[in-house]
Amino acid sequence: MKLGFIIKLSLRNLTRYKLRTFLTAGGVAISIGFISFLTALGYGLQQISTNQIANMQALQMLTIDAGNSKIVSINNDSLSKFSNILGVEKVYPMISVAGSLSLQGSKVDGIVYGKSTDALSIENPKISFGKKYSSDKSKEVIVNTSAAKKLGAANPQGLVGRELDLSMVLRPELLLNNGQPAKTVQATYRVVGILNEGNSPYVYVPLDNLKDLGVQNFSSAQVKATSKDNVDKIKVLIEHMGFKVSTVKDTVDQVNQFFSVFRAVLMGFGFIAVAVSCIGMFNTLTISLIEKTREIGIMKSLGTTKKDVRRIFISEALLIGMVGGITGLIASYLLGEALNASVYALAKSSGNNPVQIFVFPPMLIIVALLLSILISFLTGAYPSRRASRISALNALRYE
Amino acid sequence: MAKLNTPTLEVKNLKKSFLVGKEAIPVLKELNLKVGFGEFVVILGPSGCGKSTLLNTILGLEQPTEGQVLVRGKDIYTMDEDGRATFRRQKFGVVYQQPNWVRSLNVIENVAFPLNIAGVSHGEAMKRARNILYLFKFDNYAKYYPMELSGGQQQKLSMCRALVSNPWIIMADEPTGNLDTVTAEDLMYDLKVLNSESKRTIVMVTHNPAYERYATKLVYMEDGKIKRIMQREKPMEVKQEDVVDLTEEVF
Repeated sequence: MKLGFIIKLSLRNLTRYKLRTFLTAGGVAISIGFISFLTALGYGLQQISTNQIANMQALQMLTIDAGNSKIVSINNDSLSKFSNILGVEKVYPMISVAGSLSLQGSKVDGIVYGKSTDALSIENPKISFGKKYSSDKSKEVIVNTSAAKKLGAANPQGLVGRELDLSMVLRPELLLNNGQPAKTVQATYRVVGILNEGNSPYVYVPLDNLKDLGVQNFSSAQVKATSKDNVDKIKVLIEHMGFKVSTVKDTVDQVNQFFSVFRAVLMGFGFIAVAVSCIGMFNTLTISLIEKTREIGIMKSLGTTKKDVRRIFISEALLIGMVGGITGLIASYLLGEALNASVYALAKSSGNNPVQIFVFPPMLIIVALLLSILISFLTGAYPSRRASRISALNALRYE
Repeated sequence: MAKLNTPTLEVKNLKKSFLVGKEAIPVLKELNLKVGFGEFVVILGPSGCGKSTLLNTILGLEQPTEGQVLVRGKDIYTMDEDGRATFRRQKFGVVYQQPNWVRSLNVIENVAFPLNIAGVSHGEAMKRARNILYLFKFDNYAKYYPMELSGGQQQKLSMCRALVSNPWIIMADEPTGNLDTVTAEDLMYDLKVLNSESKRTIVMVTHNPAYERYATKLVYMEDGKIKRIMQREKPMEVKQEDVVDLTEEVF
């Protein structure tokens, strides 16, 4: 038998019982639609979370500190070791010290970060007023809004250009010889920018300024890898030197791991629907087999082979499964995109960042289609085998 | 092509018993029968004498307990089920007491069905089916569904279906069983024409002695045995080349 004829025959059989075929394919459509809808939701939420955590550049960064180690410390020597690692693009050392900021009598405790202009441009902080400091030598400071408010500036913008006194406590591990007592240093800076982030007060000053004040070691360092694929390798190498390394990629990996479990749970719900639709399809195919017993008899006595009888039934199962699967997939895609569009409109009107809640990666579409084919073969296997084994004579006698 | 002196059909020491519970009931007991080319064989016998079982065994649908069925010298039970199915659709046309249809197909599609099984292209199958329908004056009914036609028309249609693949042998199992006398005679006349004009070998099973007169060979069966074989006339002196291809262009 030609494949075209088999498909034609199955189509005729299916369209003879329109309601039954429609309901069975509808069951498959709902189950495939449901499972792809839920999976798309899983992908969408995952994408939202990972996008929130990191942009592409952040994925290339490693943050290094000495942890509680008494043996290793981040100094010029270790920095040059880091930058000699293959795959490292650049190393940005950073110093953080506790300090107090005073502005005309009002005083607040906060953290002073020493960052080079390079590091600042990589970090790209959200400066709401003013600008970044112009050079690594300048006596300039960027204050965050929290610090600005606590210093009594009703309007943070007004702070730009004013003088700020910093008093910093340099811990022993930052000084050249470990074992020296901690010392307090004072310096005056001019405010050049207001940083619009953070809930606790902190300021940024040029790194070299702090070095001039006697700091020799660094609190931490940021390493930028040439690509995010090198991050894991670099991490291991630096860890072997005795440092503590954390990466944004680690966090993202953890989030991804969580979401793959989350998706699996969602798919589990979907599979319940798939199981129900499988039962429905199996039922339809078995009834169709019983109804067609005499027909199978005449087909066989006219010379139809067992293989062709099996193919007729399998193709019926495949037609129901594929039509149902594709319909379900299209329906879930349209529904997902419609919800995406309304969320987008809502986000735009309320001034938030637009997000995509449902994401349909090509893999999802392929897997959903494969699943509907799998369902067809699974439910079609038994009825088609039974049909092919029916004895022609018994079938012709069947009433 | 097989030699003409090879019997078209030969049944050798055929035995068939059915298992009922643990007991084997013999239905066919040591049957021997030869059918020559171009014969019109009528197998007569009371109900339950095993004549339908004999027919089905010849068709390759009923595995014999012992013995052989040779079609043009080929032992058909050396083939597996699918092999026999393929052989059946090439060599035999079958007409049953009840016309059995593929209900989702219309008249012309049902008639073309044996060709579709054989993998003939759609256009060719339709052309040949249309020719057969024309021959039997059914061309106006091509788009009907078989169940919409009368019993007699349906039986004639099942003859069309049996003939469409241009088989050597027509096997008919009580083809007139459900028909009134006039329609039955009409059908028998068609079979006779097929035999005499188109040179088909016909094997027909019936319990109605009224059809004896159509036969060139009469086989009387009783209780699973052949009681008597009566040769009515000499088998026709025909060559395979004389066989009319019914599916040729007739317009």
